[in-house]
Amino acid sequence: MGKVRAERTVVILMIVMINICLLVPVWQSATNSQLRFKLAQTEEQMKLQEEQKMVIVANIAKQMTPEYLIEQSETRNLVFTQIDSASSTFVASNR
Amino acid sequence: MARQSYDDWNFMGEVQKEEKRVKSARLGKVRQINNQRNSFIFLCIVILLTFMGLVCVYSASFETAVAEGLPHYYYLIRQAIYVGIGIALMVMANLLPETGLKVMSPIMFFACIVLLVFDTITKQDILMNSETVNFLFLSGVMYMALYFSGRGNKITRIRQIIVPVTGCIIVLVCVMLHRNFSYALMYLALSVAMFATGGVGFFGVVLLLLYAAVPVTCVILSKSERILAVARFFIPGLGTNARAADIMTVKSAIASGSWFGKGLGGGAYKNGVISDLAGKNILACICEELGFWGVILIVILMAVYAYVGYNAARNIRKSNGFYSNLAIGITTMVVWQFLLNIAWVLGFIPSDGLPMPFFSFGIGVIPILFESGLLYRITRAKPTAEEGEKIIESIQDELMFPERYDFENP
Repeated sequence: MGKVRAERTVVILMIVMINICLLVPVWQSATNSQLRFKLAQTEEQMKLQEEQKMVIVANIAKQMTPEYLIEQSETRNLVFTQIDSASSTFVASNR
Repeated sequence: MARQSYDDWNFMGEVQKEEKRVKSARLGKVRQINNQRNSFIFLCIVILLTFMGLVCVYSASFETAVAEGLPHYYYLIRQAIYVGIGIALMVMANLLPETGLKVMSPIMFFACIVLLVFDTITKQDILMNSETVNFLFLSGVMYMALYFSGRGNKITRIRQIIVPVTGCIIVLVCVMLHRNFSYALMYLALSVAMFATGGVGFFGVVLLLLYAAVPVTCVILSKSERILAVARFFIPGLGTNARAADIMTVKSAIASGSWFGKGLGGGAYKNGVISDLAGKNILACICEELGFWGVILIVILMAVYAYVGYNAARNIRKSNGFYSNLAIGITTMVVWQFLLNIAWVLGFIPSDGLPMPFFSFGIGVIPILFESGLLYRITRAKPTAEEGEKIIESIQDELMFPERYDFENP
């Protein structure tokens, strides 16, 4: 009786082990899928950041043009006034 | 002198008696060995189906989990918890005394009826969803098994029919009001099986079918989309809706699996391509990844499950009517649910589907394992006192005359 019970336990454990072994390729596929998903997400983020960088560089370049300076001075109602160098005093200089 | 005494002994018919006794003892022993073997085979099949189900659920759900930002094993862990609860209930089903089961049966059925009526009135889905509906089926089977086992000869035939028929009608009407035709079909099949095994006979079964036919026809004819759904069964290309598109995708997934499948985890129809892939549509995933032979293996396992269940019911028929009826009901429930799921996935049934037993994701696996535990208990059921005596005699005989029990060369 004890021998039969032991045999049966071994058979049941074998079935469980076979199924655990079947899980391995699925686990690998799932891990692969998760990594691919993370990679795709990271690549998308990189693309977005690259786009943002381009936009920032373009903005800087645009703001450095004389047309932009004139436009902004008009928008903010600034008037260019000549500074009289004779009447002005240097307080400090970084040079 | 010795010859004469032998003749005298033979004259008294002792030899014939002895031969008969040996034969019956041998039969009893063989039957006991068969029962033990069957119960072990049954246990192996249940374990195999449950763990295969876990693997298939994992394979069908990891893409969805990843897309939802969850760990890929999220649904596997959840299903493993359900399976753990189911196994605990399976063990409990084997430890409960028979009286406890008998007391539990009507209480469970009454509770389910109350919950069903509550669901119908408040239009909720506490009991009437694909995961919990198995509790309703189980309670119905247990109640009918108990009713038919105890009252067969004590009451009139009309009363024997009316009480279970009334219970069936209440359940069927409530289920039909929920517009779940698959559940209705399932409960109807169970009722027919229980009526047939309960000795109600042809008249009772026809009465039940007539009762069921009227509301079914009324409900089907009450809305145009239902008529269209039935018509689509006969003319597959008729009209287009989400379900029809789903069936087409399922069929292409099944076809892509070919003979040996793409391998576990290698399916392409995941992450919402097929709706509820880990649930009711898991057959599509199995076909795609395990191929035709994988599905054949599952069908064979279910066939053996059915054989062992019905065989156990037949073996215990004379000694325990309740167990016998219960075995027939449970086996019919699991097998019929399996067949209905296949029919629904392939578009043969124009209604909501049922989950595949052992394989679909959800708490539906808990009642299935509890039922399997009950069935395992029935396959292990001890023989009657009469059969027990024969077995003891056979052991005594075996000790005295070992040459008579040479089973290798009978």
